[in-house]
Parts: sequence; C-alpha cells; structure tokens
Amino acid sequence: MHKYIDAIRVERGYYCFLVLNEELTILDVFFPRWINISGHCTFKKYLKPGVSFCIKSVGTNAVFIAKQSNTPVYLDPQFHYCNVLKEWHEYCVPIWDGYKKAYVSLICADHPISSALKGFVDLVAKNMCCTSYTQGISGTKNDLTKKLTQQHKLILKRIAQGMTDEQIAHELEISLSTVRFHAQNIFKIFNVGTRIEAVIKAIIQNEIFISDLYDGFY
Amino acid sequence: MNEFIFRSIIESWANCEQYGISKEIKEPQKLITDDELRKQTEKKRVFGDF
Repeated sequence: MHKYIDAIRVERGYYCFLVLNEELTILDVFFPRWINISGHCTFKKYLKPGVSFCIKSVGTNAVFIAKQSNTPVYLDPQFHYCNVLKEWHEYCVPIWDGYKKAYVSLICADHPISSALKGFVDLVAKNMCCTSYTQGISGTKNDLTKKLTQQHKLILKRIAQGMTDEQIAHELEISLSTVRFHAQNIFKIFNVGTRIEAVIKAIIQNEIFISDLYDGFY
Repeated sequence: MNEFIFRSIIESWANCEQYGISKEIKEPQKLITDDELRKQTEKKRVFGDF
C-alpha cells in the first residue's frame, strides 16, 4: 500500500485509510508515512485493528451508512453521532471481493476530503475487488510500459480525467481516429480492456499520478 | 447527499438514541477476539496486498 500511497504525498493534513470486514471491524489501518499521528489522540485511540465501526461502538459513521446503502458515502463531521467523531470527514467505499463484502474508508481529521483523495479511495476499492489486478500489479514494473510515448501519456492523463475520445481529440487538436488508435495501443501496452483498468495500471506503475486526475486540489 | 443516504443517517441517529449510546464515548469497542482478528487480517492481506 505504502509504495502506491506515495502518489498522493501532496495531500496535507491528518488522514488515514482503513480496511474493514463485513462486520465493520477494522482489519488494517494505513497511515501515510509522512503523517505524524502522535499529536492526534483520537486517531491513535480509535483507529486500530479490531475496533468495531458498528453504531453500538462508535455511533453513526460513514462505514455503517455505506453498509446500509451499499454505495460510497461521504459523511461530513456534523452527521456523526458521537462528539469525538465530529471532527472527522469520512469517505467509505464498499467493495465485493467475490465472496464477502469489505469496506475501504478514508478518514481526514482536519479538513474536507479532496476529490483527489476520494478518487484514490475509489481506485483502491476497485483495485482490491479485482483479483486479476492483484496478480498483475504485484510483480515488477511491466517493461511494456517503456513503450508508452509522450502522446500516449497525454491521452492517458485525459482518459484519467474522464474525458471522452471526442473531448481528447478536440483538446489535443488531433483527429478522433488518432485518439482511438492511440487508446487501443495503450490498452495493448497495459494488457487491459477498459479505460479504468488502464488508468489504475498507469497510476500504479507511476506513469501518471493522482494529481493528474484533477485540475486542482483545493 | 442523496435522499436514501440522508434517511439512513437519520435512522442511524434514531437507533443510537434508542440504544442509549453515549455521545461521549470513552473507548471504541473491540467485538472480535485477537485470534479471529489475526486470521481475518491475514486473509484480507492476501487479497488486499496491493
């Protein structure tokens, strides 16, 4: 996790990632290495493996609501029930690994969660529920990515930003068929079949960065 | 925030009050044994080792 999380080093503040099981128990906590949590007592006290995020334990929270609604949930601080959580911004994405549900959650203590971080959680969740990715990305960097040209990278960044082929063609002032040609080559290089797969692999292999997904952070 | 999520939050608050959950929680609960946690964590890390 840590080697990929470096991609979002630019983000500021106290935040961490949680992986929770179907019963809303924290299985893993990831604190980015550059964040010193020693000064943040609620993080140390509440965010550790084994702690339950059911409402009987910590009151209303994003993980519980994500379980109820089965959709990603962003919870503003004021919607938490317990006072100690009222300084937390929380974004939780439910995932399905083919057998059981689990949850990936991001908690930020001091300011709203940026679109970039939310996008990162979405990608992590997507990544975790695709076992084929787990196999594909756990190895060393794919030599094929060396074949990515500058034009490929320009197109990849725009795909990552959610642009359509038509929008990319317009912005780069090239023809639509050229964009489609390059996109197909990108798919072949990454050995993927969809745009989101290409973006995930590109981020993981440091061909593009989370900061490329969004125009601005704050 | 969509209506369903908002409704879930309201219901969750109501449940918290019904269960008599204090707004001043002292310590979050651990509802899992250390052994079970270790097993589940190992399993999760296998598929989640990204």
